[in-house]
Amino acid sequence: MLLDPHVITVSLEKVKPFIVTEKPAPGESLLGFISRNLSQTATRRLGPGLALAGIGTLRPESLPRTLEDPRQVASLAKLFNTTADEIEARLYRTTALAGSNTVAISFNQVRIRAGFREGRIRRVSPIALRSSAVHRSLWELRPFTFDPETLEHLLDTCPVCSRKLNWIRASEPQMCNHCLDEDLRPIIDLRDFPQSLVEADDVEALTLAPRLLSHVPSVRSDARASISAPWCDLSESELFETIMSISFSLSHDHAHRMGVEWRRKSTELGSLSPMTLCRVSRSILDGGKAFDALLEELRSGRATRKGHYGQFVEFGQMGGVRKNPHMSSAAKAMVYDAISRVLASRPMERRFRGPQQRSEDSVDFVEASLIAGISRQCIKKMASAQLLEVKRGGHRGLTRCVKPTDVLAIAAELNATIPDFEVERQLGIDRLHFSFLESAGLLIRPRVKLRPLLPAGTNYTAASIEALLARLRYPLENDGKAVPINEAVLTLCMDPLPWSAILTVIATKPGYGMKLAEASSDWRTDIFVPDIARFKLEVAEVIDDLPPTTRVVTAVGAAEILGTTVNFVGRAVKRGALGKLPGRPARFDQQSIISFRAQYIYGSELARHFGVSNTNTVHRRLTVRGILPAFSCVGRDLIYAREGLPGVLN
Amino acid sequence: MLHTQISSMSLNKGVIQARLDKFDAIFIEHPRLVALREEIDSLMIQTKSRIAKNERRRAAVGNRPIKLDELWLTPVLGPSGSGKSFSLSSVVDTIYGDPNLPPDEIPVLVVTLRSSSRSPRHVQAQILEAFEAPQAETVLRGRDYSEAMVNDDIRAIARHRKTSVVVLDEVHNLLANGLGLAPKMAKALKSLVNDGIFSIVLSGTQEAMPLLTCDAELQSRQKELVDFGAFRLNSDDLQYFVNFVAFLEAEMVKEKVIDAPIGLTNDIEACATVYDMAEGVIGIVSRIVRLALERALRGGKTMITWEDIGNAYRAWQMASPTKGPDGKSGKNRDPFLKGPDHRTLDAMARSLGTNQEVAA
Repeated sequence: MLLDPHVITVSLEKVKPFIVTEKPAPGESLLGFISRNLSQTATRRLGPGLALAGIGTLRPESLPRTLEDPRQVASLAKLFNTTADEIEARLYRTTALAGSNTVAISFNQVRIRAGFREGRIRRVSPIALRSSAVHRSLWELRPFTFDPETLEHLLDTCPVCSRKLNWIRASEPQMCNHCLDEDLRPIIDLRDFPQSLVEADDVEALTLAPRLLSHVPSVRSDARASISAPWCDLSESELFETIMSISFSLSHDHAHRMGVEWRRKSTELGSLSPMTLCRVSRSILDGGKAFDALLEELRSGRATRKGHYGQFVEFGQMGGVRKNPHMSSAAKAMVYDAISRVLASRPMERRFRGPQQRSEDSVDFVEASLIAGISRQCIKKMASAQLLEVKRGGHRGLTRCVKPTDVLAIAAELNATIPDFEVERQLGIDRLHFSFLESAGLLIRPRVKLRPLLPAGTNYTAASIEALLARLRYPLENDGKAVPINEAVLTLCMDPLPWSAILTVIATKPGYGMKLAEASSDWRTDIFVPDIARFKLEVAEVIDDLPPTTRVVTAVGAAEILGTTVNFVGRAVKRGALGKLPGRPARFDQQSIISFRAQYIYGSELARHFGVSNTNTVHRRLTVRGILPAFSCVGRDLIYAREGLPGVLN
Repeated sequence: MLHTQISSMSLNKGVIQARLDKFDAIFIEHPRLVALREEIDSLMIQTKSRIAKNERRRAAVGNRPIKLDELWLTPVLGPSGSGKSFSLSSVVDTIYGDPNLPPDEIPVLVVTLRSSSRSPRHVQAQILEAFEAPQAETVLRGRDYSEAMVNDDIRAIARHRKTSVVVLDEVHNLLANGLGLAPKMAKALKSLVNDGIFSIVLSGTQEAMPLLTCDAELQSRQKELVDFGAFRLNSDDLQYFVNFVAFLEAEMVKEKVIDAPIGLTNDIEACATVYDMAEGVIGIVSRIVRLALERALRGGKTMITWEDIGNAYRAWQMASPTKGPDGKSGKNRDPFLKGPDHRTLDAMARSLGTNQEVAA
C-alpha cells in the first residue's frame, strides 16, 4: 500500500488522544483494535491513523511484529486511551523456537513459527462476530481455517465484491472494507454471510491447538493438562509445533517430493484441513498408543509411496522427522521413539527384484538404499567413487552387493554437510569469504571422495559450522568499554569491509563475545569488541595474510569502488575497458579495479565533483575543453582518463 | 473640562501592568450581553431537548438511520470591536464556571475560524481542532474525504463531550476568499445543523451577511439575529451608550485604575464627543480608553486627560482605516479637533436633557 503523502507523522511528544475510543476486548488482535477504533473516526486508513501516534509505516499490517520502541508503544496507547500493557500484550515479539533457528513470534506468550501469522489478509467468522464484534487474534493464524468458538469456517473474501479483506482501510470487523457507499461508509455486513461449520464430532481434539494458544493462561494450562504421556512433558510451544508439523506432514503426504516438505510456502500453511488437525490432536491427547495407531495407519498407505525408500516409504514425511528444523529435539525424539516402536513390532517390508542370494554381510543396492534411507543412484555413485567395497553376489553371481555398515557410515557423513548457500545464510556473509575462512581452518570441507556425491557448489562439514557459530556465541568477559561490532567495523574505514578477516579475528583471537547470546543472535550486530585499537591491529594483521584468492570482488563491489552502478561496470566490461575473472557470476580482481580507478574516472564521479546532477553536463563541459572520453560508447556514464583531467579535477 | 495632574515620579513597569490588569478585569453588564446570554442559554436548552428527542427516535427504530429533526442557527453580527467576541467569551466563561459541570464536558464550543478557510473541509477540521481531536490533521490532508463521514465523527465527539452549541467566531472569514464561497459554506453549515449534530452561533461582521441569505433552507433554520451593531441616535440606544461609558469611568476610579475621573459623561458635549469618537460602538470606547491609559501611565501620570484620549483616538484611527461618508476608504471626522457633530449633539440633547440633568 502507499502511505498517504499528505499526512505527516506527528512527533511522539505531540500525540493527542482520540476523544471517542473503545477499550480493547480480551483476545482481540492489535490490528483489530486499531481498525475498530479508527472506524469510529474520520481517519479511515491505518497508515495515517498510525501517523497520528507518531508511527510512520508503509506496512501497517506488520505493526504487531515491528513495533518495538517503548515510546511508540506508549504513544499508540495514548492515542487510543488505553494502557501500554494492553498494547504490549497484543504485540508479537520476534524470537526463536526452542532448540531451533526458526524465526518465531511470541503469541500470547507461546512461541510459534512466524510464518503461521497471516499479516495482510483479514479473516473473520461471521457467526462469532454476531456475539461480539471484535477481531480475534487467533483468526490471524494461517493453520486455523475455522473459528475455535463457533467452529465456523473463516471468511477472508467479501462475498459481494470478491476481494480479499485486508487492513488498509479501517473498518469495523464485521464490515467489508472495500464495499463503500458514496460517503465512503462500509455497506456490506459480513454477518449476513454465515459460513459452513466444521463437521467434527471430536471438538476437544479440534480445539486443542487453539486452546494451547489461548489468551487466557488457565485455558492454556488446562489444554496442556488434558494431554497424556509422553507428550505432556512438552511445553505449549513444543506441543503446538509438534501438532502442526505432524498435521502438515499428513496433509501433504503424497503431493510433493519428500525432501523439501518441511520448507513450506506461507500460502500452503493456510491449507490445513480441520479434520487432519483433529486427527493429529486426538493422537496427541490420547498419548503413546494412539500415536502408534496413527503411525500404523500411515504405514498402511505405503503402497502409494512409490519411488521412495526407507522410513519415507513406510511413514511418508513422518519418516523424515529428524530433518524437521522446527520441532524441538525432545519432540523429535518422542516421534522417533514411536516410529522405532512401530518398526520393532513389524519390521520394514523390503522389495526385491527377484530371488536373491545374499551373503551374510552384504546386500544389493536396493536393500542398501532401504536400510540407509538414501537413493539407489546415490549408492551407485558411492560405489563408482570407490567409497564402498563392491562384491558380486545374487543367484547368478552378477548382482553388485555392498556392506550396509559402510553405506550407513557414508550416509551419515553426507548428511553432516551443509551447502555454501546455507552456510552463507547462517553466517550472514558472502560466500566469497569462505575460501579465506577455509584457509584459516575455520571452515572444513568434506573429504575429496565425498564431494561428487554432494549437491553442486561448495559444501562444508556441519561440525565446523557449529564450532564456528559456538565460538561466536561466547559470552563477553569484560564489557566495560565494549563496542558493538557494527560500530567497531566502521572504525576500520574500509570499503568494502573485510568480513572474512573480521570473522577470523573474532573466532581466533580472545576477548570477543556476546553480552547475551541467544539462538536468534546475529554475530554481525551482537558481538562486542572489547578494545577497538587491538581490533584494528588484529584485522590489519589478518589482512596482510590474506591470500590473493580472497581479493576478488563482485560487480557490486567493483561498482562501489569505481563510484558508478553495476550496469555501467557491465558495460565497461563489454567494451573491453575492464577485465573480469573467468566464470559466472562476474567477479573482478580487486587490485585491477583499484588500478583502473587510479587510471580512469567515471562521469558520474565527475558530476559529483562538479556538483551537477547530470552526466551530460559533465560531457559538455569537458568537450568544450577538448577532453574526450577514454572509451567510446559506454552509455551515458562515460569514462575519462585521469591524466587528461588534472586542471579539471583541481 | 480638561484635567491635568502630572506625577513628579515616573511609574515603574510593575505598577503600569498592575493598573492595566485592573482595567482589563473590569466587566460591565450591558443589555446586549444579557440578550446574548439569554439567547445562548435558550439555544442550549432547546438543542439538548431536540437532540434527546432525536436519540429517542433513533433508539425506537433500533438505531437505524432516520431523518433527524433539524437544529438551529443564531447569527450574532456587529462591526469589529463591538464586543461580540468579548461577550461570547464572557457567556462561555460563565457556563464553564458552573461548579457542577463535569471536567470532560464542553456544552458550548468556541471555534475561531481562520481566513484560510476555503472549503467545508477546513471548517470541519477547525471544529475538530477546537475539540483537540487528533484526526483534524487527517481530515485536512488525508486522501479519503467524505463530508458525511467527518460529520459522523464530529457528532460522536459532540455527544461524548455533551456539546449542544458551537460558536463559530469570525464567521466572515469563511468569505475572505471570495463571495463565491457563500453557497458552499452555507450548505456545509446547513448539513451540520440538519444532521442534528449541534446548533450553531455565527459571530462576525456584516460581511458575513451573504452567508446567511444565500441559502433559503439555511435561512429557515435561523433564529433571531443578535445585533451588536453601533448604538443609534435614538433615545434608548443613547441612554445605554452613555450609561456604559459612565459606568466604565466610575469602575476605573473605583478599582484605582486612575486616581480621578476623566469626565467622559460630564456634559452633553463630552457625551457627543465620545459617541462620535466610537461611532456608537462601545467596544471602541474601551479600546481607546485603554490606549489613552497606557499613554498616560507611560508618561508617569496616574489619570487620563482629554488630550490623552484625543491622541489615543488619532493613533487608533491611523491604524484602522474606516469607510468615509462617501463609502470609500477614508478617515472619520475628528471630534476632538472639530467638535462633535451637530446631529449627535441634537440627539444627545433630546434624549439626555440639559447639561445639569446629565450631571445629575
